[in-house]
Amino acid sequence: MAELPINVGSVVALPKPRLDDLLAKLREKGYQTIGPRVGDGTVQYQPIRGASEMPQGYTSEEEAGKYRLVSSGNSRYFDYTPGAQSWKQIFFPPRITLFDLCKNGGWKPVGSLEPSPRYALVGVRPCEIAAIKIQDLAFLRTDFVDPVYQERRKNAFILAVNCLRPGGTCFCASMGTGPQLSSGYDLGLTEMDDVFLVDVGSAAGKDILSGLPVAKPDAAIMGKAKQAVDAAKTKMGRQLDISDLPDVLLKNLDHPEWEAISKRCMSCASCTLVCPTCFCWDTQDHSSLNGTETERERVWDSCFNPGYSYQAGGNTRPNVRSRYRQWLTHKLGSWKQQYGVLGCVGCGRCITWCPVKIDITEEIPALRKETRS
Amino acid sequence: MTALAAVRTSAAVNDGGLLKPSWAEVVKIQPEAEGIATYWLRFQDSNLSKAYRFLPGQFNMLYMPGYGEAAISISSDPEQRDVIGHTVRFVGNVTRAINRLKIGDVVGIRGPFGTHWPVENLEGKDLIIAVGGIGIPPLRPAIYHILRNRAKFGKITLLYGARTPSDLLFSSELDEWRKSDIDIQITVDRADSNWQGQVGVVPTLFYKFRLDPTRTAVLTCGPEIMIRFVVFEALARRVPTNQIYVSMERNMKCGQGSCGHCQIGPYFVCKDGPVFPFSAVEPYFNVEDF
Amino acid sequence: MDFQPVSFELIRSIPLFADLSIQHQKVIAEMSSIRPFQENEEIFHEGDTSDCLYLMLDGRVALEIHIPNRGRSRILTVEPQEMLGWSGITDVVPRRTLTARGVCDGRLLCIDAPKLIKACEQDHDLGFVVMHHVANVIAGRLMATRMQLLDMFSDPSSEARHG
Ligand SMILES: Cc1cc2nc3c(=O)[nH]c(=O)nc-3n(C[C@H](O)[C@H](O)[C@H](O)COP(=O)(O)OP(=O)(O)OC[C@H]3O[C@@H](n4cnc5c(N)ncnc54)[C@H](O)[C@@H]3O)c2cc1C
Ligand code: SF4
Ligand code: SF4
Repeated sequence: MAELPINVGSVVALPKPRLDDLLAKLREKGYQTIGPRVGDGTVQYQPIRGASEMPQGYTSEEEAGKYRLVSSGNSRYFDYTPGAQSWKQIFFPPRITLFDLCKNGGWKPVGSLEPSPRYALVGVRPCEIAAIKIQDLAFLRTDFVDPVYQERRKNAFILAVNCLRPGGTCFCASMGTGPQLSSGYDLGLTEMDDVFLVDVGSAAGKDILSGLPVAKPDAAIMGKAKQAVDAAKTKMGRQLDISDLPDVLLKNLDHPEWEAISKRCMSCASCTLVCPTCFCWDTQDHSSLNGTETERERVWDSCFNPGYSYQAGGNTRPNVRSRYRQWLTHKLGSWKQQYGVLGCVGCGRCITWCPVKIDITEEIPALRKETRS
Repeated sequence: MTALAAVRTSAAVNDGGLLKPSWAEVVKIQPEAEGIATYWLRFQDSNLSKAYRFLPGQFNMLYMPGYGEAAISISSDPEQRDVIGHTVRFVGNVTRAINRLKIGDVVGIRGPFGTHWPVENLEGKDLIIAVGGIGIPPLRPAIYHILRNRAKFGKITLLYGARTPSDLLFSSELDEWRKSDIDIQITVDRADSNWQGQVGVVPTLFYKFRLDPTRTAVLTCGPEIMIRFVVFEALARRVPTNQIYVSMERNMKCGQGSCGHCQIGPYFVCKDGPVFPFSAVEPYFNVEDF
Repeated sequence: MDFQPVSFELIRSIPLFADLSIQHQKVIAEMSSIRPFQENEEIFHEGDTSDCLYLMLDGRVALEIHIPNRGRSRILTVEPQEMLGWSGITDVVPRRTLTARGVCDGRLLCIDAPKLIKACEQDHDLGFVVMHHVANVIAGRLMATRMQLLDMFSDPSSEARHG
């Protein structure tokens, strides 16, 4: 059989059992494969060696304040909706050493930033690609490049997957980020019963496919896949009207809803930690007891943390009202002025993982009520 | 992924020294008032020392290993090349560690960061410089610039307030500035009867002279509450909102609009500020706890 | 104390009185005198009866309060063309609450308070202008006092914090 010609833009069919070969190929090419795995009752992104470690046969149920993995009754790999973790933990690690210093006639650096492994991210959803693109805008600017992020991001391989089964808190269709892949991936999967349709998104993706037993998909399966992707748009658990953002937020900074929400929100920062676009960070120095060595770390921070806005003279945002307002007005408001896009991709994580079920798709309409402008 | 593509291909990548602060030696420490001193720093790398430039109103992140970084304005003359001055008030972790520095000790520096007082656009104007407390150091470089180019500016009035007479900074220089035709009005919040000067708050100094709003710009720095009242007085005298420049202060960790801390609405104070035309921050200025 | 009579021309030249009619300016001139003062001289003392409303012509006057065990504290200075001792024409503050002391040599215009009140009662046009100015002075002082209360330059690390 003559080898199938593959180009960027081609769609080919990979038999389901050969997913393992695809992962093996990535590893062979030097990528560290990170993918979905069941852990702590949810789906986590962890190093995986093969498809057997993936959450095959699982689906997830989510509501405000709830995430549960249940059996899907089928043998699909990607019928779950992502859990609390997102890919930001790979490119923008929750904790990372910026440098180590040793006091030795002045402060001398010890070692340097370790070269990052080349990561292959397995099972990246459309909204997650949108989130990565948003973080690219924050960390890879023309006037500032984050060295940690860039090192990890630049060689990463993205094995994406179309969402056929959106979750209860998803609203990516409203945000225009999903559930269908559009760009930003090396390979894009659509999971059917017996095959994966594989959309070749880049030359790197094409390379990985070479030598794998792919075939030309027939028209029937292509039609079915299209139907499934289209149907997914109608299965979103949530919706959000974004037509009047960011104004509805930035012109309502004194809206009574902020006070109301502050009675519920515990300022626990969960929403910012699970959000795949939130990028705030803090630095910490850790010294040896005798003060001759110090390690400078960068850690995730959150606008919900009291220390976030301390300054000489007091706290700029001394209460939950002002912190929640900062979060939402940034995410769905001033983000647009800063980066040209809103900071929300509609993944629903902040709704799912809020312990008190605060739902941004309800907050925006609430702020729209009695709008004073 | 346009951003990534651009960055992948650009040769020089600006990470702002995040992984590698530059080291500088303390060459002189000048006590200015109780709890405040000026630290004169010289880069250990002599090439850097020669190449380093800043504009009036910009700041550096000073790094004390083991303690962390603090944003400190540069308070020296932009034309003075070998050493740079930072006037520091000892209030917290990093600044108290700075207080323990001795001559010859080293400090990490990243910078300069931020916007500057737009002195080049203000030529021909009357300037009112209204400062209070630790708000005067960020304006001193602008004052040096103006002194050097005195003829290019109109009337210059410095309104300067401090808590008590002993909290006044740079007292020994003020006479020098007066000689260059800068009208200096000093006031303190409280004093004993040895103080011959004015007592009262900075904004009330506006009551004591007339200004022509069509040719006046106001530059102000100090506690935000003071800035608010200075702006109030300037607006009451019809100075246009885009001719009032305010220097804002927020918690900041990176200096480059990355860590998120210093946001005011759409702005990152560290890169879009600290110096803003009031017209830019006006929508957010009176929003409580924003 | 050496009080000197006041000419109508002097009253006319004072910006504060510019919006008074000539007739009213004459009335003010008749009830006013000039009160020169010297550096360190007490112009009035805490507890004195308030029988004069002053306007600074030149020099600088400090308002002081004596705090037991802490001595004299200067809380405000008054500059030329500003009013001093406005309590003189109110009923609620019949006595001086602060001491006024010359910071340097200077001169005050001293307006007889009982006479001024009487003239204002008899002629409400004059009364309105005078009270309007006094209200402005009080509003300005109040604003300044509030700002002083904030103690905005205090050491932040010594303050109690919230959040
Ligand atoms: C653009 C810019 C320019 C500046 N220029 C100067 C300058 O020229 N000179 C100068 O002296 N300062 C300047 N500052 C201010 C200086 O950066 C801050 O005062 C900085 O916080 C000092 O750092 P620190 O580590 O010493 O204080 P921190 O330890 O950060 O403490 C600062 C204040 O916050 C309080 N605080 C911090 N964390 C907490 C907490 N968890 N709980 C309760 N309270 C807390 C502290 O008590 C203290 O009052 C500038 C700031 C900016 C933004
Ligand atoms: S704000 Fe919420 S829904 Fe939007 S991207 Fe962040 S976590 Fe997802
Ligand atoms: S909105 Fe919910 S998740 Fe976010 S800080 Fe408040 S309580 Fe925590």
